Amino acid sequence: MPEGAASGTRGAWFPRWFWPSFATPATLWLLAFFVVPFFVILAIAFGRLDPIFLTPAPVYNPAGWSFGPFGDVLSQIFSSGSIYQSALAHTLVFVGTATALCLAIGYPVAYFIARHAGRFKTLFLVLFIAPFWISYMMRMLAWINLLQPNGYVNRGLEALGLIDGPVYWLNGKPLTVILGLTYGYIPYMILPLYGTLDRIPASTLEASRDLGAGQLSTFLRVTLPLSRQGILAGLVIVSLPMFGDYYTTTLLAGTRNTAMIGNLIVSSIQSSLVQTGASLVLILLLLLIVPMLYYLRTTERAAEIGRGA
Amino acid sequence: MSHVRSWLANPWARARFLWVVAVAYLAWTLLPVIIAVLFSFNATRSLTSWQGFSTQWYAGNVNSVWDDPVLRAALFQSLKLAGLTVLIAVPLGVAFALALDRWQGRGAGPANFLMLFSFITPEVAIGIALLLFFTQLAIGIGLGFTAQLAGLSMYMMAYSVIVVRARLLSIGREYEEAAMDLGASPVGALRRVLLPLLSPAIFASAAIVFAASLDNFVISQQLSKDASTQTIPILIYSSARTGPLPSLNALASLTLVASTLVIGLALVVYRRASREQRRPALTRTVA
Amino acid sequence: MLQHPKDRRDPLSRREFLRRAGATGVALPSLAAILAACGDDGGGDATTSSPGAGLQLARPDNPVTLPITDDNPPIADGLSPEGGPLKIFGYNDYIWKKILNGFSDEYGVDVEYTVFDTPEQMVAKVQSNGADFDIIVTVTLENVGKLAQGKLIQPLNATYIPNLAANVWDVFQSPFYDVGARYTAPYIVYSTGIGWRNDVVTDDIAAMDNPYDILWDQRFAGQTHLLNGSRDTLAAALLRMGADVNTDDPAVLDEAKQMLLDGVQAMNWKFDHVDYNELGAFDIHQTWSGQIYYYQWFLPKGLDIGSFSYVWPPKAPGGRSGIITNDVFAIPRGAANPVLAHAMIDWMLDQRNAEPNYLSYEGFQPPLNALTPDYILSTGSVPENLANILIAKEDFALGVQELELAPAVNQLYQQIYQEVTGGA
Repeated sequence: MPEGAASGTRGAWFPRWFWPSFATPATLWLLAFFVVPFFVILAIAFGRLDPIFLTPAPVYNPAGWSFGPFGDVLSQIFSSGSIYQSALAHTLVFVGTATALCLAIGYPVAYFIARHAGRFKTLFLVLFIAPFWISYMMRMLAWINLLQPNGYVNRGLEALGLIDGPVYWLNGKPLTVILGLTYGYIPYMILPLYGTLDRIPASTLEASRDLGAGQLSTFLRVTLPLSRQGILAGLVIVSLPMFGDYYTTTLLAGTRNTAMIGNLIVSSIQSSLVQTGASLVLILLLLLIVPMLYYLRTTERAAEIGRGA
Repeated sequence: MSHVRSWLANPWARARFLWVVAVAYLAWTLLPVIIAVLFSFNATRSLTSWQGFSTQWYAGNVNSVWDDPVLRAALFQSLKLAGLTVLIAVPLGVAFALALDRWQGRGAGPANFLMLFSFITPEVAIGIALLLFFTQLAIGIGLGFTAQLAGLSMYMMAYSVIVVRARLLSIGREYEEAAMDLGASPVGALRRVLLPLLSPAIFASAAIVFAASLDNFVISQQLSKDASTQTIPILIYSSARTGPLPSLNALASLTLVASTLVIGLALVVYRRASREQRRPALTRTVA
Repeated sequence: MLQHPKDRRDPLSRREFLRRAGATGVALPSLAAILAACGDDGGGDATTSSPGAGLQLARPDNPVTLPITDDNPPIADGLSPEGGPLKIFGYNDYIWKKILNGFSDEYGVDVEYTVFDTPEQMVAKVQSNGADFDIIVTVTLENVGKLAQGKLIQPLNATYIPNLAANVWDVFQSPFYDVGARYTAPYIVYSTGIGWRNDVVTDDIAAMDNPYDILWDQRFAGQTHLLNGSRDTLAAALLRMGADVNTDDPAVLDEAKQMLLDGVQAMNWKFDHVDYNELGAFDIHQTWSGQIYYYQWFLPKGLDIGSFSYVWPPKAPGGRSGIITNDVFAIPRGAANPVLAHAMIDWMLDQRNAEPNYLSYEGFQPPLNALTPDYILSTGSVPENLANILIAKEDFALGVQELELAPAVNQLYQQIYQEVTGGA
């Protein structure tokens, strides 16, 4: 190999700042429109209010921050019966159930595409990933039409004799919200699952069968553990956006008993409770910081492995 | 026929169960959308009972996509926002991905962390943060198209970074190094070897960013100032609860067609380019 | 089983990670208490002076003259209308498209209509970018004071609105909330009552002593909707209790809040004012007088306007109080097309536009001298079963209006509203 072609001396061809400078525009963009806006959230949550209108008066100097209002919102979350606690509870239940459903439905589907689709693999992959580029709003709109009192779902169920009269699916039913969330986010589960399952070489599974393991045993002791990375990635990718969802529940239910944290955040900002809204955003981030960091760590580890490979 | 016979004889009976699950899933996922598209051709304004075929909601009815200025404006705004977002997010993202891949120093970790963080933070948090930013701090810009573009392009950069970085990892350094060994300048190697190799990934990420921007709701809605900056998802959201007409389905169907075309095109380009690259194209680019 | 190299490297880190996370979870309630205490120590109280200082609260017996300041003057006389487009910020479908098109044709301008859902949303938007709009359709009385005194709307120039003096009820030439009509001109008068499906609900709600009770009647759980917007929702409870809808008494508000919380659990109310769009989905709706007229254009198959009835509680045997009020046009400060906005107001106060807007579409009654209840009935436009949606000037004595609250009290109302609705 010629001199200077070894990776260690590649720096001799470019000045030290060449490649990092490529990152500058994006970093500036992120600083301006990601970091600073979150600083504004802090400045409002820990800031003051205008005396006449009680509109937020942000305080940008951390020395001047006061944590009373934030503490009030936090303590509301722990006071039983308050809407803040209910919304948090609803959010956890909806997201948890919907994520579990996504896994329960998504895993067999991903497994199918990865291992059994054969010649149709690409076709199926395209079809199963289609919801990704079909507008979320359109998919929800489709369901709103189907779930109307005189829509096809009720008509079908009545024809099958499963219900007597029209069911008001869109009138504050947690089931509708959970199914809606599942429907909306399940493609995000299938993709990473498919990726991991696809990478399991057929020879590994054959080896397991050759060694005498039955179908179920192979699945439980070989396939499932090998797909763990994909499962975790899928769980995180699906649940994180769900936590901030407010539009699905408004479209499909719209009552207090299905209110999620996102609803409270948005409605606070739209009334004169902006400081409360900012505090709720911070609380949401605090809630999710652990899974977010965990996901970032595992992604980075995976990238490192990939680079070293 | 023998394929079917072997399929039936397959001891893995689970395959049949999986086929059922897969087809049922496919129906559950796609049927509502197909029905929604069908109803955009309904002869009456009903969204729950089919009354006959008509294209009035696309053009003809006073509330159709063609005739209603509100719907037309939303369509135009969506395409404009998505197009310009691609023009900002993809170059920034590609440059960032290149930097991350080659960065020798300690700044790479934090920069990458920041980028990924922007990707996994719930959109409502980002949307509200941007709303407060533009109404409390950056009042000179304020809410509106510029704000929507700035916020959305920031949010979409990560898609581009992720796709391009994955491709960079699989390309590796050998082609550039070989090019430079053969006398190309560093910038020349970048321009004539690396970028062409990357172009399918760049194109794919552009398609993804375009489709995702067309579909974006939270950030666009929070930063919208009035009806003139209304995009299609915003329109659907506000109309779905106050009297939707089949023209809304028509509008959504049109964006579906747009997204499908873009993604389809990207897929075709990607496969053609990847297939080319599996052949020794190196001799052609450097010679 | 395959073990990934990274697992072998640091087996403790993930466990450590989760342990620390668990510690955070345990610490959070105490953290909340500490933070709340931090605030009370005077380290930083949220407000720096007594809330409401400087904000005049208009009442019928305490009329308010809204100030006109040098930095927010009305537009000059004799200007010609701008080129548009006229940007309207209003409730959904609150002016008939035909009337908007007429204005468009008359002045040769485009009209853009941006929608808001509740008065709170309107105020928030006007605070953030009010100057993007030319006219607000409409402002309800409880927000007039803060918008004017906060210099978010501009004073009107009456020379552009001759129809106000010529056609409109006397009381609106100088109403108590805006002496001299400096900032506002009325759009419509309306009452807030209860609408119901008389083919499904066999009770004669109009004959009840306290019609508000029906909103809490568990026989109709899941089938009853309330209006959205903090004032209207709280008014349902306050009026049922017989309390003042503008009360600032914390004990009264607490009782109202509890009544609403109990109600929402038992009744699973939906909060909206798009009743016209879901006419099959509810049996009872707290609604406005004009709204129920508007249902006609949205009737699903098999439903007739005759199936709907309305009651305004002051006209029921028990004589309970009820809301009867008006809303107003206002022009945001810094609007790009103020002359057009004034022209729009004048257009809407012209009987040739107001009458068809009312009778052919909106159903909300404009306070024009020519449109007396007898005249309206004579046109035959109002269905017989809904004759009681008509407003006569004398009716105002029977009811109350939702008026300006001190900012801290207003915030309390909004917090209660958020508690009750969950932001839905």
